[in-house]
Amino acid sequence: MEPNNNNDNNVSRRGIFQLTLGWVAAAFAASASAAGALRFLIPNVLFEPSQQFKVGKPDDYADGSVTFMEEQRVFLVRKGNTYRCLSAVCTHLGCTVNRAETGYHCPCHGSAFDDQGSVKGGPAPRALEWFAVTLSKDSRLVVDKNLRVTADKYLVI
Amino acid sequence: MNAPPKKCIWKWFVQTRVGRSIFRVGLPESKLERSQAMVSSFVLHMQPAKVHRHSLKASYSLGLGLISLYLLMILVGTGTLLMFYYVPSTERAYNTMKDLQFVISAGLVLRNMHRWAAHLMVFFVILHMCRVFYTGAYKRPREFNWVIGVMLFLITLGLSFTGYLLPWDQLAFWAITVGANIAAYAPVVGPKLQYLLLGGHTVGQEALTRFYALHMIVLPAITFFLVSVHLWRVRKDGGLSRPGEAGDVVERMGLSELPTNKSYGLMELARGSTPQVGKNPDEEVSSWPHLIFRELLLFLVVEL
Repeated sequence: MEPNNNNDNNVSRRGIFQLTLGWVAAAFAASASAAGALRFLIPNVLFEPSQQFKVGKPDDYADGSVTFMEEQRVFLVRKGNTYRCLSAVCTHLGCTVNRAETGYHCPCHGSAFDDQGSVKGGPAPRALEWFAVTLSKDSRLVVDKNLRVTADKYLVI
Repeated sequence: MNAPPKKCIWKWFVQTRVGRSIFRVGLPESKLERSQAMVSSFVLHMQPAKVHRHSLKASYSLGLGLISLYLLMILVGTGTLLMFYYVPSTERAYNTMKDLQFVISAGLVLRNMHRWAAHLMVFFVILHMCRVFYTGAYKRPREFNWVIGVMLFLITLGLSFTGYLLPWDQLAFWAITVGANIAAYAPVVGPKLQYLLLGGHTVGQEALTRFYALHMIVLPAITFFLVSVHLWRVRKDGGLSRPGEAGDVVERMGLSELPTNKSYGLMELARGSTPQVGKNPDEEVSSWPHLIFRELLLFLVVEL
């Protein structure tokens, strides 16, 4: 050490305390404002379409039909007196899948799904989601995209 | 264009009181004045007063970094003009984009310039990285500038990505849907990151507003800061890299090794080594006009 640096070794107890306090305060202020800014950027209220929605009367859908609903990006599948709802959002990168002759096909990267939504080819990592279908008190079909079900769950009417 | 009379008017102008107050020194004639011209002007002082002959070789750097910078300038210029008409709303964004193309005078040219310059900038930034890599210009003492360069590359990609959504057409919508889903694949924080980026679960008005803010101020501000540091470091790290660097007079001196029989400016002491150390004076030419001329020439080529 050079002579003029000796002062550094003789820092007083009070000096260390003040220095620590100063840095802790600065770090606290910085991290608090950073956390506040981050929290500010996470929205609390969303103006997106409701995840739970009515899709009309059961008789609106013909037996054996698969009906695409563009705004909600789901397929309503009727077979006999059973109703199911399949997500049209590809599990790969979120494109909308199209109804194909057998199953479903994604136009973006070529993922293929069968009628049960299982992956038959392409990059999709998971099967398409099935959503719960219920009947409201006024006899309308209600789809709830928050409730995911397995492919063998039906609404029987 | 007849040069002689124009030069006379120019010479007369810089001699006037107004001219002198603006330019401080006249057109440089001697070597000393050439150096003075470089350091006494705000615009030119970012350049070194002297430059190594090797750095002027177009075949070495290919001017790729400068081309990237000029493309950035075009992007800032055209982008600022586009901002005067563009409205970041899901109802109006597409229409204002179409207005720019079909109704507004020169709107089509500006929009296409912005688009092409954006594509080309990504291209040239990658080429610039390749050049720096192949000439070993990322090595000591330029490691940190390489890191800043990588940050700038990522921000260039970020600007491209955020700008992609703004036309609000089908391509934009699905590209950002796919891009945001790719972000969601990130480990642990992925879905939260996607939510934060889009301001929701799907690409909607919140996403457009966020991308607009990122594209117009956040990323350009970071770019401006990093480009400043990047260019400053190019000079402070000894200019462009050269093959003969190791054979120069003195490669690099620490503060303690400085000879004591020479006086140094405060600026040089603060840095720990002198700006001229590590260069062979015989190999240097004045920046004015050699370097400036080359930079302007390249600027014209890029503009065309």
